[in-house]
Amino acid sequence: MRSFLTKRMIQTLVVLVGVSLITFFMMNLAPGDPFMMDPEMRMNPEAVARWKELRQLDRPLHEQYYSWLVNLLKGDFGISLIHNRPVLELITERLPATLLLTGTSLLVALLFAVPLGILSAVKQGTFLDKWISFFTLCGVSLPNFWLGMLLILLFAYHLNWLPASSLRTVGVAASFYDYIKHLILPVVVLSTGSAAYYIRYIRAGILEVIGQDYILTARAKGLKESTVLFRHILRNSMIPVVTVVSLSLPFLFTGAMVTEYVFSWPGMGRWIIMATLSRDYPSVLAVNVIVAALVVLCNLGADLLYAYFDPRIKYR
Amino acid sequence: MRMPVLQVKELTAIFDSNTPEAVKAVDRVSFSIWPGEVVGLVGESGSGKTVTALSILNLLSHKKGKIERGEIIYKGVDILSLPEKKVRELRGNEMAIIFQEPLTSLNPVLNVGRQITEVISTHSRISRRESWEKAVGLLRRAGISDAEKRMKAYPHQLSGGMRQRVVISMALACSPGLLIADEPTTALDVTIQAQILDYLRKVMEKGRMSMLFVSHDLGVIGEMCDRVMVMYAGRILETGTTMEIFKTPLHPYTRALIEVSKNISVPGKKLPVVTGSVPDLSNLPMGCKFHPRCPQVRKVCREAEPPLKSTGSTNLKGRVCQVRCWNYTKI
Ligand SMILES: Nc1ncnc2c1ncn2[C@@H]1O[C@H](COP(=O)(O)OP(=O)(O)OP(=O)(O)O)[C@@H](O)[C@H]1O
Ligand SMILES: [Mg+2]
Repeated sequence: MRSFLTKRMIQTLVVLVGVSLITFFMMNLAPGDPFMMDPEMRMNPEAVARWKELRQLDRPLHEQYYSWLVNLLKGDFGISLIHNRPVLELITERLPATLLLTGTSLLVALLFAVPLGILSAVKQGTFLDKWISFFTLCGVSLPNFWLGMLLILLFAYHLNWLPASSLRTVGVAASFYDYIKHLILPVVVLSTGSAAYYIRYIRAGILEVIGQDYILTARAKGLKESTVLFRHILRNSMIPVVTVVSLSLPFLFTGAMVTEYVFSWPGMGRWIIMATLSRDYPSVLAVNVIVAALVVLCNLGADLLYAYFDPRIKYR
Repeated sequence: MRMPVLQVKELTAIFDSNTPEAVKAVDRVSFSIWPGEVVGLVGESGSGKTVTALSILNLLSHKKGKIERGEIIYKGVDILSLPEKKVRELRGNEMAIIFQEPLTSLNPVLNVGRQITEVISTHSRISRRESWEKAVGLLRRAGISDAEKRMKAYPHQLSGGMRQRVVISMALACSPGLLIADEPTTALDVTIQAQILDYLRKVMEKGRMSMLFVSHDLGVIGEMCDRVMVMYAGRILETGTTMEIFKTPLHPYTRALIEVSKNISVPGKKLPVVTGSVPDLSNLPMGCKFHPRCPQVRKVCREAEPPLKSTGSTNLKGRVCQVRCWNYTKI
């Protein structure tokens, strides 16, 4: 187990260095410059040169990368080229709103997906299963921006029941009820897609297990259907579910970019889009490295969970 | 006279298939098993042995099959007309089954102890401690050394033979009246097979249980059973006492199976088989289902299916012997 963890740690480091390298050079090779956004700067080559010098953008790329890496090891993600503030500060400002949205969506999605996935597998081939399959197909194929705009049009514009944008009503004291009202539409959009996705995984996982001989054995023992389901089927079908859920965890951090954009959510997603468009190198690098780290960590977590669910899996 | 433990009457089991007609995996099969008896069910792969076994527990629906008609009468009660809850009380308790493949018939993520004790606690109200101890005793009697320790093992940590001992312990946990052993030793090597068969025989000696012993190997059947039923393409072709079947087999298929079982232990040669191949159930021949492979085929065999005729001879306990062959005429 220890050597397994050591191996994974080394792998993690390699992945992180690789991701940061690729991101760094891709960003710099991509056309465009951070000062494009500022018309006054664009007109003034002298100012540009001074600015570049100040930000050390005039130095060779490998030197820039090296100093970025050294700073990162000190816990410093650098300073945003656009906001002129530490990247870490920008992230911590936006992360709570995003986590609120993505976390709630994940919970809501699982809340629906687990029972519906089980139900449609257990009732395979019935009317109910066909309806659930139909809705999951819709859920998987509806694009988020389209569903989001549709909901805004209906519930915010026409019916005026729910707010269409932002995290809370401006100028009003923050209240739990107000947050909930703002959360509903984006959460519906985000959880529809992922719930549909999870339902399919859960259903497929259960169906695979139901056909196994040991389930027949369990029934031949005279166990109740519920015991067969909870004790024998579900535990064996957990692995694919653990996989999809843990692979989606890193995106709790980046937020749902499109959905945040549609709902003007003051979170990570919108900021990441802006940072990319405006070539805010340090911000984009930070986000990529953090996401890469999260992906690797969640994978590790998933592997450890596999071993918990299936005694046949042992790591050395 | 005493009652049979199990009576199967006109059992017909079908599977829906892509062909216009459903496939009949078992076609009007009838037989009885009497208290203390070991009845063998023999036939090649695909002849419908497992389907028959699952039908007896009314578990066929979980294999996507259906009992089209027939009765399964256990100790006087037709289980096909019982509510599911009542049938559950019989499964694992009164009627238990051992499957062919000991690895896949154990749940990989539950330890052995859990899998045995759950049968016990499902059917009787005893404490965890007691059912644990009972399970340890079962494993010990089944020939597992270190039974206490093995209770905590997972199936993948055990050898094939051990797994099958676990499966057998599970089946015997509630002292069933009827044990269905569906090829319990097919997946095991010869020495382990002998040990397992020995153990099953020892269990039978107590005389409280009856057994339906399924195998494709007449040799094994000969060692284990009082009576034999020969199955082919979902039908019974011959029944008789083990003695009679081996001494005077009446059906050409039975004779072929006996020939095959005699040759089985020739090392270095590939497994002997009956010449010809098992017919496709969705495309059965007219007449006798065995006629394409039969050395004594006549015109009538191709035209009409022979009925299952009583041969007149009865065994010691007064049970009739039957054969389904046009060549058989009463002597
Ligand atoms: N799940 C299924 N779906 C469709 N047809 C099936 C299914 N199970 C069995 N059958 C049909 O029933 C026939 C009999 O199958 P069965 O499993 O009873 O054979 P068997 O005598 O137990 O053979 P084996 O020695 O291989 O275990 C098969 O030939 C097949 O055509
Ligand atoms: Mg079989």
